[in-house]
Amino acid sequence: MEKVIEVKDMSFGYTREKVLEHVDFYVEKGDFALIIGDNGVGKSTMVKLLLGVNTPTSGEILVGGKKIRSLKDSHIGYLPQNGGSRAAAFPATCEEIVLSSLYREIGFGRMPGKKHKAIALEALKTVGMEAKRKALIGELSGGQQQRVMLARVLAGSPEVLILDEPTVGVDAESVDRLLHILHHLNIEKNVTILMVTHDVDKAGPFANKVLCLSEGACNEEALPQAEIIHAHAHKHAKGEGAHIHSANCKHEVDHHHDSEHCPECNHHEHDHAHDHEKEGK
Amino acid sequence: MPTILQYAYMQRALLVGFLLALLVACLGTVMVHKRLSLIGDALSHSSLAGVALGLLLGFNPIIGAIAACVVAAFCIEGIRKKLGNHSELAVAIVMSTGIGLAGVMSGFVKSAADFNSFLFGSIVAISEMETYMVIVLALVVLLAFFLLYKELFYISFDEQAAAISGVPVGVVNAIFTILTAVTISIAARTVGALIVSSLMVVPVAAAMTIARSYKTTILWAAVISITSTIGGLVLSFYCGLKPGGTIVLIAVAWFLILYLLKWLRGRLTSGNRSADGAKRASEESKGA
Amino acid sequence: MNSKNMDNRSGVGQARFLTWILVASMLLGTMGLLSGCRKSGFGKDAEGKVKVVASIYPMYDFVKRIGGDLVAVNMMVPAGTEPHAWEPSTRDMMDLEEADLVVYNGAGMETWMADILGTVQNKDLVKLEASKDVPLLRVDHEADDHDAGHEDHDHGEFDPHVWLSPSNAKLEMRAIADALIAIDPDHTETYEQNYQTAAAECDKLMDEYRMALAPYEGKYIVVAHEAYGYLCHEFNLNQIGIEGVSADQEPDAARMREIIDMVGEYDIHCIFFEELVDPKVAETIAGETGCQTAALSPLDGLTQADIDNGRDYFTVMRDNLLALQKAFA
Repeated sequence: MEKVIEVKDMSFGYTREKVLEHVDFYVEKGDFALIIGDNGVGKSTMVKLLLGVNTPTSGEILVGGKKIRSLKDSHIGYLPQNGGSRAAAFPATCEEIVLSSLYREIGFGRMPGKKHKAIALEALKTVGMEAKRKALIGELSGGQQQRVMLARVLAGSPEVLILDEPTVGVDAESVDRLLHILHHLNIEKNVTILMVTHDVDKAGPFANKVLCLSEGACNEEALPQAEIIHAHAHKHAKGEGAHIHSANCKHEVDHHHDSEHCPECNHHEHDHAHDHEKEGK
Repeated sequence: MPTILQYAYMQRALLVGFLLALLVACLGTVMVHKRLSLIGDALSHSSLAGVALGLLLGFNPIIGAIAACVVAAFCIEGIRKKLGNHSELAVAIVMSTGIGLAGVMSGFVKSAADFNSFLFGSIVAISEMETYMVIVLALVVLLAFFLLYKELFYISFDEQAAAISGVPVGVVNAIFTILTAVTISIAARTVGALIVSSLMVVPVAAAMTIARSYKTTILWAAVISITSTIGGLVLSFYCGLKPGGTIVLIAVAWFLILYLLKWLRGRLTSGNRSADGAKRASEESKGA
Repeated sequence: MNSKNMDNRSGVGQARFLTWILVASMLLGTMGLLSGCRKSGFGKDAEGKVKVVASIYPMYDFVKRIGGDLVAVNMMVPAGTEPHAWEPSTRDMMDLEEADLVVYNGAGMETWMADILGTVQNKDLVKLEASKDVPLLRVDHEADDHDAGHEDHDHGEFDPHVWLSPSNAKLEMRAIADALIAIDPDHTETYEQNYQTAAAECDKLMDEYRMALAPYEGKYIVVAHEAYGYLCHEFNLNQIGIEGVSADQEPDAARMREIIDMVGEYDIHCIFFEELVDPKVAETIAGETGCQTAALSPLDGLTQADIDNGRDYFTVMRDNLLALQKAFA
């Protein structure tokens, strides 16, 4: 399988103090991956690194086998946190908003044509919002706004979709709908999905891979078919900064057909955890 | 020919008023959505500092005003990025700096004269040179606005995503910042700071109450801005009202009427709202 | 967690240290600036002289004329500044605390004076409103119809520009002479002599104006703002002000049209502007009607260059007269 995102022994800190240390994981084409963890463990930082907004202090991040400098060079689609609510006060129609992401296709200084409108409509159809294409974004519900924002990302036909906490700030029904849309995209269109969330219960069943950034946040029962990669942060004494030890499970799980746990993997992970404790001492 | 058009100063006032109203409405739509509504105020007052510096160092105060405006606009851009959620503070900080600098520097200027009269023009006293200047400015700004419409929309909607999609955000912002600064300094000199800073915001606010898309927001803002300006000039000519104040009040009246209409429409349809909600819910479940 | 906290704390400590350095250097800088600034008050030259604060240029000129070398005069509104747009500084307040006499025109000219005098603690300060003996003209509300806006209350109901008639200037000089004599009776003779000289000059100027303007009685002048009421009253002229009595008003379109129409009607060839106010409006009207423009000084402020060139009340008044003659010719 092609590794679309690969993080190799990556460390990062805004100051001398490290937020993330020695993170190792990869996402393959067609994966539905989650990044989970408690507040403040560096989930959003991880996203910024993946998007090329921040640059790793050491180690490297490869997207499509290449080091990323910015998202401009990649086929990543990104839905930021609270993507919908930002748009609420903006007097634009859903169609105008979705069209705006076709920037590269339309070109500098040009107006969108019929072809681009068709793409936008298609994206709105994917999220079930085609009927509201002429509606003002501000007049939609939070969940609908989020779906329009998703359509905006999808119009760029990304191969990888990164979502930052899409379940925050929308009602339960909208969360379900969103997850179904993502699942559909993942299976039908083979879109690789990488989602940052703390909502393991809801998103867990869809995922085949989980990067767990803090202990306790990984409710493994909610992750019936996922390979779990632990990257727990252990805080040490003064001056050393925080360490994140991570281990990567090398076992392939065909999540589309096999809904069973991977006992070997879990076992493997436990071993690793033990190793770390020993190392720590 | 109606009396109003028999006077050259009124012809110039109507022409320049029309062009600047159009320009300022376009620029204002972008500025309001970048949360920089008060940039007109900030820049026209910052240009005071440029005038003071010009008088102090002996160069043309108008060039000083334009330069100060451009510098202030870039400062606002820079500070805005640093402040994140409080980006509107950038405008206040720069405005305070500009007024403060102007105040201190005016103390050193020997022939201070009546500062304001040199800085802030009047729409009924526009020279021929200024008319040509505004025509050229209008052509440049409208062309840039038309070409960069899509880019500006995207940047003001979501700057980060725009950058990711390949919009040259830095370049577009810089072009737009310069155009805004030059427009404001020239417009303040030609028609007065009051008209500029108000027409930047009020027509946009009025347009947002009725517009059904971004494009129509701009169109409505332009229509409201232009009708306010022309209406204000006509009233000033026939009824002897101060043009600046009249223009601004007409724009505010537009806002109030449109807002009232929206409110009334909301009241009238509120009876159907529960039905609407049910419809929306059923649609959503169907989609899923 | 601990390490993070400790690190943060040292970071905060550093930031605090830097902040203090910044604050300290700003304080030092300000002190440096202050020491570099001119000391307030009258300085050593003023010792043994009567210390006078004059509000605006005409008052300054009159006090100098009457007091001569016996007085030290500081002018509040600096040279070249339009008095309507001026605000007092702390230095002006300190001058007043030290002064023996403050001379202001009054009649609504120095709108800020009442506030200032209310806060001065100098009990020996003699306050002279120079226009107290001048018969004041009411603002002609008919001519000022369009400008009865918010700015009017500033000037009150009287036209304050009394000095533009030489006979009023003479009355103001008399008041100043009396005040100086009361403060410094030892030099009564000098003050009296200086007054006589200046008064004679005023009379001469009156005659020149009368002679020169006699043929133009009843004519109209278009001026930037209606400051010339006393002049017009004395010599039977009519003023048409583009703006009201105060200089900082924006004209409206109807007023512009009215003036343009009047220019044709009254056979006017020249639009007057003031040196301290942007001549834009005058130029617009002149352009519309094919008139000339010329400067006519209301004398409420001379530029430093003018003062350095030896211009004073009488030379400016004579320039004004020439400009008027040229406009009517």
